[in-house]
Amino acid sequence: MRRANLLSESITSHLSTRIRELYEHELDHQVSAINYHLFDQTLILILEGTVTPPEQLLTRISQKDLARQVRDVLDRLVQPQIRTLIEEVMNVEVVDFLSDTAIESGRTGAIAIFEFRPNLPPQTDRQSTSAPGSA
Amino acid sequence: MTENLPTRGQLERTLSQRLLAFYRQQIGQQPSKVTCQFFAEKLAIILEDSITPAEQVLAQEGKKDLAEQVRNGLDEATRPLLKSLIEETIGIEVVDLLSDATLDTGRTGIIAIFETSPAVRNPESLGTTRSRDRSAR
Repeated sequence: MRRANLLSESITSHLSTRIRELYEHELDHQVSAINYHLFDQTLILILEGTVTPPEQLLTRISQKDLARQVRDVLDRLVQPQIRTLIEEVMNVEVVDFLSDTAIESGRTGAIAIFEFRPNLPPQTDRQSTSAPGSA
Repeated sequence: MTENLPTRGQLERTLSQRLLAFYRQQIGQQPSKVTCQFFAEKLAIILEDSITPAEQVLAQEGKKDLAEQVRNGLDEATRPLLKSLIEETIGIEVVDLLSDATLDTGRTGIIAIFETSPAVRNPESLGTTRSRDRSAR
């Protein structure tokens, strides 16, 4: 039977702060919201507002292929660092990290697979959302 | 009314079975395992052993870039069909479909974002979305 856990508020706040700092440092861009869901050895992250203004502009002027190329490069820069942040903050080893971004909606989804189920306190809810400045 | 609805687990199992058949039919590679997990209006799908032998050969022969291009092409070709399959099975429109695969592990991860949470007999099992945006700062 699968067991769902809520990430503790302190972990999501810390992780969100670090991820926001990463986007601001690397891309000078602010992510609007980060949503987490943990089940078994899997952490799902949904990041809202990850697409930068230049990519949005390219998409609006029908240069979607170019916007996609830009996004691929930016994701290759940022995603490995998010993987490392998860490992640091949650004290886990991530054995697989899968991520994709929808340019039109500005939404990035990521799936982190852990080597072992993280040792977190049990919670009654199943998911957690962290907004900026909530740390 | 609600007793006619599937449970969340039934919906996840039905979708998992259809996904196995979908990948076998579309790319000739049936994943060894499919995990579906709803959370509110979102769905995570994890496919194990989802990479075709042809892609594996390319990667093993030092043609990893080409293997990734093949994977991107397969993902692009199957995406509209996959979206339709999920929408037909769950009965709700998918507003975002995010997908990625790792050649080394053979794992594919998919996240579907729906307009609303699915209609299930046990909606409490889906959890709720607590979202605050930047204006909450």
